Amino acid sequence: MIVVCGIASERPIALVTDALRRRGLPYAVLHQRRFADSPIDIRVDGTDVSGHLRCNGRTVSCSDVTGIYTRLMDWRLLPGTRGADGETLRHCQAWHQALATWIEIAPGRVMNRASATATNRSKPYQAQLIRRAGFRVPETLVTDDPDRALAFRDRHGRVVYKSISSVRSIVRLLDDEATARLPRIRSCPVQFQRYVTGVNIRVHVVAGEVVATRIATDQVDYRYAGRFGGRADLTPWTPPRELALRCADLATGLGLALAGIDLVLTDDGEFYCLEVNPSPAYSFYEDHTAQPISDAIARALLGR
Amino acid sequence: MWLVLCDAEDRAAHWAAAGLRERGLDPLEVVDAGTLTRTERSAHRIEEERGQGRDRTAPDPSSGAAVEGDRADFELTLPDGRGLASDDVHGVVNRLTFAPLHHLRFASYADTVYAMAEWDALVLSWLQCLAPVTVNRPSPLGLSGTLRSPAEWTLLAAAAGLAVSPLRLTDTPDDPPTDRPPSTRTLVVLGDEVYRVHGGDALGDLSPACIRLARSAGADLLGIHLEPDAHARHGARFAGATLLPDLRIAGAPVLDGLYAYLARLPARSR
Repeated sequence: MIVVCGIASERPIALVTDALRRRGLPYAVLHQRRFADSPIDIRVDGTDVSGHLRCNGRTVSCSDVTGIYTRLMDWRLLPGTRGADGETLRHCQAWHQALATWIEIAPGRVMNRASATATNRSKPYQAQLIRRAGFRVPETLVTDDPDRALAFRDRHGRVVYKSISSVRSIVRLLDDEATARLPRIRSCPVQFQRYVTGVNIRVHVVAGEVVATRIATDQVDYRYAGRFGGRADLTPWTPPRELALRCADLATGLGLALAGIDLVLTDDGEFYCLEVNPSPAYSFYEDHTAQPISDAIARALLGR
Repeated sequence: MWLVLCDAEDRAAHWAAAGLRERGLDPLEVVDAGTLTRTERSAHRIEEERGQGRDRTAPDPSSGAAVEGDRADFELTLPDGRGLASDDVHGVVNRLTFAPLHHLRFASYADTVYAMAEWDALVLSWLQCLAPVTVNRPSPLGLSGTLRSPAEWTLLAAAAGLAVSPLRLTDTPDDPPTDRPPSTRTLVVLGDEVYRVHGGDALGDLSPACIRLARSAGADLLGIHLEPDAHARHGARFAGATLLPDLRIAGAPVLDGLYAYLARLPARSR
């Protein structure tokens, strides 16, 4: 049995459940908006985890679960919590805590456990881990000193800035307009990075299987190309074997059964790793290229 | 330089700092979390590739010297004018729990959440590149190591060989936690040593299991709470764990151990 946790209509969730259905694999969707109708009762006794969940009116025994795919959103942002009474909020919180704990301790394949996804909470922290895995990372400066930021820009010519955490994570070029606002960084440090130009590559690693996509764009952050009037053309791409292995090793090293690794291939043939997304919205790539990422996820969830 | 990083009200950390100074760790600075987030100036750099500098976070056990390799560092000017550079730090007692932002005022709740996430992310990255010996090393799930639920601790403790009580995970809101019963004993694990409470009862031969638990939790320093139970293996049952044990309960021996632990450094990095 495979358990899929999140919002059933969300595209990555929907693609995974479609793939599971096509393959005839047993699965249940634990819809977080229906927490009130999905009781959880799990027992931890020694190293044994037993008990059951209720999903869409079905009882799922924890001991039957071989794989979990999770894309839970912050429970405080669920529509059902807006204006809800205190009892409902406490129940919602307790339900999500119990579920998150079970996901963390459940045997079998989990995409992904919180302990693995957390590296993305700090981009410079994750960059240190990425570099240890053998990837180049763009030279980075996190500072609250406008003069140092200017010197960094002068040294590298073009520099991007982005959040240090995973919150508000949009990458922008440090242009003249942004430079004029630099005195504001005195109250909260900002992350600056050498702008590495080249071809964007998104590598999805699914339990060791590598699916790569090439993105041609005229934007700094292709994910928001549409919002800023730009273009992003996605095509399937076959990475060199050594690079594919290195990506698989990086995901494994971070404890991620599913990872979205953002690379840039520069004009002189160097690969830079920008970051590793532990909860990738892979559907964006699958929808553009028809690469069978959801199918790989379904296959991987079956195996312990 | 040695560092003790802690929350402002962490009396055990200040007690440990005084004891470590008495034992000869010099210079030793105590920096509280609020001081870190009120830096006058800060710069945190991550170089592009391996081989550009000295990796201070991954000592080579065979040579006893720091490895040439990764390079990440920081320099801070603290509010009182003190400078703090990661390259100058030999060892750290790290008891940070969060990055306080009481001194800042935000326009909205969203801005507050954003600033808290940014500062936590930055402090985590600072800690990651700090020193070859950091007790405890940071984790993205806790600045002083991975914070775990009681269920996770129970599984780890059982796997380590400690007797545990069963527990349930349900969607029913928990009752507020109650105080530990007076019979609870706390052991402090530091590396391969286990320290007991002053004059406390010996709790059977629990040391190997406690050390295994600390290792599996990735913690150099761990406080382990145990309830005496005549029916349990080794006469005690696991009752919880903390990455921030009150070191004072174990007295001078744990300070001696901590001193030795922090001073056990490759000669080149001192």
